[in-house]
Amino acid sequence: MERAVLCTRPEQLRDLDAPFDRLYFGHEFCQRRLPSAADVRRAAAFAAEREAGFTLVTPFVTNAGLKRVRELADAVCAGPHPAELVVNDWGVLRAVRAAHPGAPLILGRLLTKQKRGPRLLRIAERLPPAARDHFRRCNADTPRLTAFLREQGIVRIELDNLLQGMRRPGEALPASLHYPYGYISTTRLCLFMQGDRPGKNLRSLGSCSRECLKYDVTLRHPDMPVDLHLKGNAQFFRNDTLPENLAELKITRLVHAPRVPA
Amino acid sequence: MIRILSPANGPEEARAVLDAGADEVYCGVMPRDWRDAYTNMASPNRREWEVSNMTSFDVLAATVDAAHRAGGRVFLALNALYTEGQHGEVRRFIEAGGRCGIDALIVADLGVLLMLRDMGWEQEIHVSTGGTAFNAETVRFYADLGVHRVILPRQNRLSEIAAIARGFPNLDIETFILNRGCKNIDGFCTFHHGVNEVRIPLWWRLPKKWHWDYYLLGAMKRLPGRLRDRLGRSGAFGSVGACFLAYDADVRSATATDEERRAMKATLDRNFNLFTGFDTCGACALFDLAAAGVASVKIVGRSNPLAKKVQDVRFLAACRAFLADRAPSREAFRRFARERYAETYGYACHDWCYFPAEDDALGAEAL
Repeated sequence: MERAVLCTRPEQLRDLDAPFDRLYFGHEFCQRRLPSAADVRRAAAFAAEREAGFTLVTPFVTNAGLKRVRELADAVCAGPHPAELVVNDWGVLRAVRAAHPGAPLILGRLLTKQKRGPRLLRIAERLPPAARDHFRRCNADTPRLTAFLREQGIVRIELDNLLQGMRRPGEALPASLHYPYGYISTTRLCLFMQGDRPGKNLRSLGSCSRECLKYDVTLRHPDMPVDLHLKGNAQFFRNDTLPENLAELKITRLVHAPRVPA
Repeated sequence: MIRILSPANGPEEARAVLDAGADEVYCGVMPRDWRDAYTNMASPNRREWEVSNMTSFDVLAATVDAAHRAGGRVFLALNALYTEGQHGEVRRFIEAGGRCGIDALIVADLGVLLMLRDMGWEQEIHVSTGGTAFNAETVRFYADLGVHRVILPRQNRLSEIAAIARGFPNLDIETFILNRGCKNIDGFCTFHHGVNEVRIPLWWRLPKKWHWDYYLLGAMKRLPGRLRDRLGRSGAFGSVGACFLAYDADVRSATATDEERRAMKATLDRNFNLFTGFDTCGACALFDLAAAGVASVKIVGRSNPLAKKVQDVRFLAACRAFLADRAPSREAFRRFARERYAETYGYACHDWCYFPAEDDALGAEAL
């Protein structure tokens, strides 16, 4: 089992004390939080010094964000250390494949379409067998899509540790499992953005002062069976219990986030 | 001329909204056997409520017939994300939709898009907002797969939409224009809707069927803002979606002042509320959307009563007619749209805007 650690910014590299086989570096949810090309090169060198692999993580992007991602992809693909790239946007997949054919690509959590909402736990016992099975699977594991992903240069997919359990078919692509934080939802209408100023316009995409680095928010409600962690523009659940059948699920890599990703 | 796409749940609704000025209608079918197997939560088309769906393909066939007679087109939403056990049934849905004579399928799942290609589907394919096309390269990705229309996510800036639409003159680009501006990104959100329909079936199905939520919330939204928000957070009305729950937000920060923390909590309280995103409107943007070559604008609200659907179409059709007949300036058009909104719905559009001015000012190149 390969053990990876997820860092979203350079300062976090200093705090890594446990050993790891691979460094995930970048941001899955916010193009405004993409690191600079220089930071990416430094992080790749940091991983290489520790004889660890390096994986650049990218988010969904607008046209403006796509320019930034292209620069970062160029930086890692042309760099001295072999690197993987996580894509969370079909446009990023198309652009990177065109510029760097043969680069090892990973389908990110935003595109693997697991059914992550924790409210499901409230009714799990009432679900008919077909529904129970459905909510444990993801569309990326259907044979037609798996074959297409392979054609597109995707070598693995990223999954969350579902609270309701997981099922995968034998012919599925190898997967990474993120823990302990599973993503549930994301937005461009980031509530943190200018959220600590009175009168914030809730529907504005506005401009960002990186409030996500400043605040941690836990959301609780009697109808929600677990606490939700709101960090910047994404919401997460926490699940500390890893599945016992990792090999059966074709999970060959664990990606640990020491803190809520932001 | 930019087209108006309206929801229609059956032949009577299709006739009424097309008569009111819509050009195209979209709908979904959730047969009883699908619902029995997977529950409403795993709806085949992203709308989990009984009232949002036709229950048979016979009704769809009648709807297509009525729409075609009225000169309109019909798009069937098959835009959920399916797992392996559902693919046989999805294929049967596609074949049934084809036999009914639908003009396009709306899909979000790449696996279904590939299935359509393998089946030699000859009608149009529209990529749902669930396809999360935030940039031109994603639109190209779908164009490579043979789609005819891409429905952009709700959370693109007007300038970003315009840039994409101008870049694809041979592809239909569709955007949202009216109702339910969800705070999360549809295609990236994995919260479940319809949980309460499974938990307390009768209590949740009947009020929805009678449009209880529409009329009650419609009355409440006319209340003064502070009172409305207090009621919206009271928990007295339950919630179909996790995004509308009135969460208790525990805000922590090592560096923020108490005042900043309180302001952040107030922002979160205001947003986690039954009324978040209610009746969102982007009609003012029709001027720029039409100029950019956007093909069609979508009205949300498959579960709304027919009177509301017709009202929405009439409002947008009046805006479109003003734009075509008077060739107004942007400002004159916006003024007209806002006045017509207040006249139609009885209250100002205030803060429920799909395309806020400050976003416009930032432009398409801003991150």
